[in-house]
Amino acid sequence: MKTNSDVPLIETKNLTKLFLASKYGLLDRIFGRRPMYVRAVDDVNIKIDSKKTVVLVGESGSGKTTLGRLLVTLERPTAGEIFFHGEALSKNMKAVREKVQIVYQNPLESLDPRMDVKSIVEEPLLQKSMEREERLLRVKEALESVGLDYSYVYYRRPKDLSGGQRQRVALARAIISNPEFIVLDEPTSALDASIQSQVLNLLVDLKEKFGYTYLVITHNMMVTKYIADMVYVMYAGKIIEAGDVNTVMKEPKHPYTQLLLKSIPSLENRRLEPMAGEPPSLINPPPGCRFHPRCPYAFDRCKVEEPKLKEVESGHFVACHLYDKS
Amino acid sequence: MVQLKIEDLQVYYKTPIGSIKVLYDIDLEVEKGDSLGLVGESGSGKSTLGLSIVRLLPPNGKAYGKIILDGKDLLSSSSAEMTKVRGTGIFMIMQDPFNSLNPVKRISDQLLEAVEIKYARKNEKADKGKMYDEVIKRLRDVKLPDPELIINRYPHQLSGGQIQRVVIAMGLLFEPEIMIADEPTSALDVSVQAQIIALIKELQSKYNMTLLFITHDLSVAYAVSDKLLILYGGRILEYGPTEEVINEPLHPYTEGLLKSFPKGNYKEGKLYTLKGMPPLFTELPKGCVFNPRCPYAFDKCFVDEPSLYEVDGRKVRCFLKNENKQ
Repeated sequence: MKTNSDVPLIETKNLTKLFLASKYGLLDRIFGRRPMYVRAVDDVNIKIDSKKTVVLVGESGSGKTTLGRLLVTLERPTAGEIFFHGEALSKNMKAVREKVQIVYQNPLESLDPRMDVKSIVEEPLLQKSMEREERLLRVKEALESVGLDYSYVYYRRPKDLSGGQRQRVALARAIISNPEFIVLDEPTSALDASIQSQVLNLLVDLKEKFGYTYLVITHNMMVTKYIADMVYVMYAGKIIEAGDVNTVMKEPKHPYTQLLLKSIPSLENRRLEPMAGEPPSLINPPPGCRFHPRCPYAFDRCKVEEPKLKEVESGHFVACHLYDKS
Repeated sequence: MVQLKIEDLQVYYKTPIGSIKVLYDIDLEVEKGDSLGLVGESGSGKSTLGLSIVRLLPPNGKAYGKIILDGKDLLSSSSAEMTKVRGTGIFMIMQDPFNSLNPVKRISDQLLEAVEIKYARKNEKADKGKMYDEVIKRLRDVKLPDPELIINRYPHQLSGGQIQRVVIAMGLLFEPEIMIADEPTSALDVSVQAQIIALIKELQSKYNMTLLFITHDLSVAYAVSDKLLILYGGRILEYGPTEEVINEPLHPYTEGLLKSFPKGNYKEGKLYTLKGMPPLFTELPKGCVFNPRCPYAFDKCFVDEPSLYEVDGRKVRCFLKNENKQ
């Protein structure tokens, strides 16, 4: 595989994923009903540079987890293509799969309750032809890298560990196969407040030590501000704003991002300004801009024409007619 | 006026490995119209405190002490008397909106039942039309669009945010003296969470309702409540006005927790972390419960347990703050 530094680690072109909204059965076919689709990820173009942390922000149902799963090949795209080091993923799926990993939100659900920590962490290596001695050495190293006491956790099962320790085990399982790219889906939201900062520090340490590239999926703005190099904001299956963390979090341009930041409780913001309405249905998304029914600035054009993601300042992309002079 | 007084509350759970104490020496006075945030990590006893007040502890739970509502001790009341307190005296909003309504009854029937109970308890007569109007008025209060339509639906036809609004409307219909909300927003979307928090806060001040808001999220409690109660290991560690607790925490735990919240980007430096993890009720340390994680712990902390000292009108369970005063 080429390692050209100008080529982003991951790039997507018009990536789209549709799910059938309900079972499409024989009767539906006989009566010629059209199948209904959930447009979970709709025409998404993103770039993730090597050794950077990209945060994907959005409400539940905005398609952010589906996008994460697409990037680690757990879902096949309906349309569009993903490029890994500039090469189409559909052409060398097996090689890419060894280089990508995902860590889920709730480690109690993602770790097999009947396996001990040693077997959980060792499992990815069983695919490779490797001596047992070397495998166990790697397990020990991985557990130490995530800050676990190797002798304490080795033969324990997930139920015997605390939430923070379980999330560390999930991380150890992800890093043991030396991935380049790790998707972290809400890595701290199942953790207690006093444990959250320990795990965030660990993620930064691991990235600096091993040069991982992260895609972090979250709706926590404080976590986003802390861990991100770049931020993508997703709404109803579309990327609506993208840019450097400081630009997007400090000077958001899209009305949704602005409202989202004002409506999230934080220790700096006691007065909440909630936005009206609820996230739209992805089966029949609103025509035009998908945010227009909730947008305080919506005008006629927003109801008809869908805005495209455009660069409004250097490195800051927004999909909103307010910034589109054409 | 003190409305709710808790004196020397101790709560035990009977388990196969013996009786476990989960709440220790809870003393608390809540005034009419207070908005109090009960904040704690998982296993701090915050939900147990809420359930003890409404006497809905699981069958293996037992509470000792006094919980006095308007001069009457709830813990020594009979269960028939207690049933009459629930709803009109104390109304509790549970965490999971989808389990709090009856799935086979229409919203209208469930809300009308609440109004009927209220009038029956007041020994007043009210006709159907008047009660219906009252239900519609409350649904408008909680900002549900088209209440006349929604009222004819079943719970599964509503979104999580809508159900939580219906439950809050039910609370308003009872006109309770105290409303307890146990994590009412944690199952909801971020943007909907802000709407519900703003709604609860608005209604609380409009009807001068006493609110106990249970949450694990300090930033949510900061947005909702005027006073904060910090629970840890089954004990009250700190109690005081919200702004003072957030800006000048007295207890090392509160201080550490606030310091560990991410503020800037990772490039600006590591996050402060509290070492260790929250204690288990089966393995509470001797002396102060926070001593294994406390950066200031000294000899006395490992031997004796501090009591809840009063410092400048606030309360804190820490030897350091007591000795400063002497």
